[in-house]
Amino acid sequence: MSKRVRIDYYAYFRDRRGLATEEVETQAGTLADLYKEAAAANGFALPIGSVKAIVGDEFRPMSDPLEEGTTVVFVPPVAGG
Amino acid sequence: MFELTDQPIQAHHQAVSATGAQVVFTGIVRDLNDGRTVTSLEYEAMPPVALKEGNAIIEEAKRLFEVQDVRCTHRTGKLQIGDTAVVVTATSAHRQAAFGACQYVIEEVKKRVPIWKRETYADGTIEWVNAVEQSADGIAVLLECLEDFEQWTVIDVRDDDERQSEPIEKVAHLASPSERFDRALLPGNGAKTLLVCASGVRALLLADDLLREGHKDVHALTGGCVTIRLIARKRP
Repeated sequence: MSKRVRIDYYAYFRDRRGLATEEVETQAGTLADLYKEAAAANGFALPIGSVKAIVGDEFRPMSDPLEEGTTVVFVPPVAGG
Repeated sequence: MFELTDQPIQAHHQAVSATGAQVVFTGIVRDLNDGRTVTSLEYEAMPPVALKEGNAIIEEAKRLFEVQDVRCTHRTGKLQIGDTAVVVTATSAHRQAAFGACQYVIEEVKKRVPIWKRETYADGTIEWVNAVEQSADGIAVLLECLEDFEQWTVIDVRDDDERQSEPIEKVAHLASPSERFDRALLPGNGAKTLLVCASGVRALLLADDLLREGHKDVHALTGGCVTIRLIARKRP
């Protein structure tokens, strides 16, 4: 079943996508599935193991189910300090 | 208290009435990273989550060490070489706790807080630090660098789930996880074999085993995707 979600992009992902946010229709069942879809569509070349997901200001496991209407942030490897 | 600022960082000690010991760590923008000359950089943060995660780290440091106060301020925006990128200040009755808390905070901030760094290099290229692209084309690029690339048999020795999430594309190859490697896949007709895994370690250990068993011309892609990235970068 298709659902509508929002993806916010930061840093590497925003540069690659050329957008800070977008709404997408997706069949993805999990956050991992959504990342794979977005990576395939936009040429994101970061391995999924190096990417984290945030939903509603909380880090969530990539295996979490993707809910209709969610805003997801994919977090590329951090580099503070 | 963890904070982000797009302005030069002010010293914390003015804000803390210290008794005993105060340890300050100052992170300063360096002109060299990974062997390349850096000319400037930019930090980007995701403020709500960065503040939340940063403050969680400060609270952890307060629980783990007997400190009166711990603060961390991280820059965002454009910085030049020599600018202060981050300051951590830990105040305690005793120096051991202050050193410990200070180190704990900077190490965890580097690992966990959603702050990203985009460096500009002397050759004009710009890169997000740590965003190591794993290009499946990398192996194709590598093979093209070899004069006799048609002679090579490529075998992916990663586990099944790794292979599914990051497939090697555009290069004819075989697959057999290193844990239960199928020796029947080795060409054995004078063709050279290149073993590939994520970092190069498993490929190297397996190649060593195979050479000891008497197989000829078995090679490992040392450094895995790091090597591939370097080769791809040198390519015009």
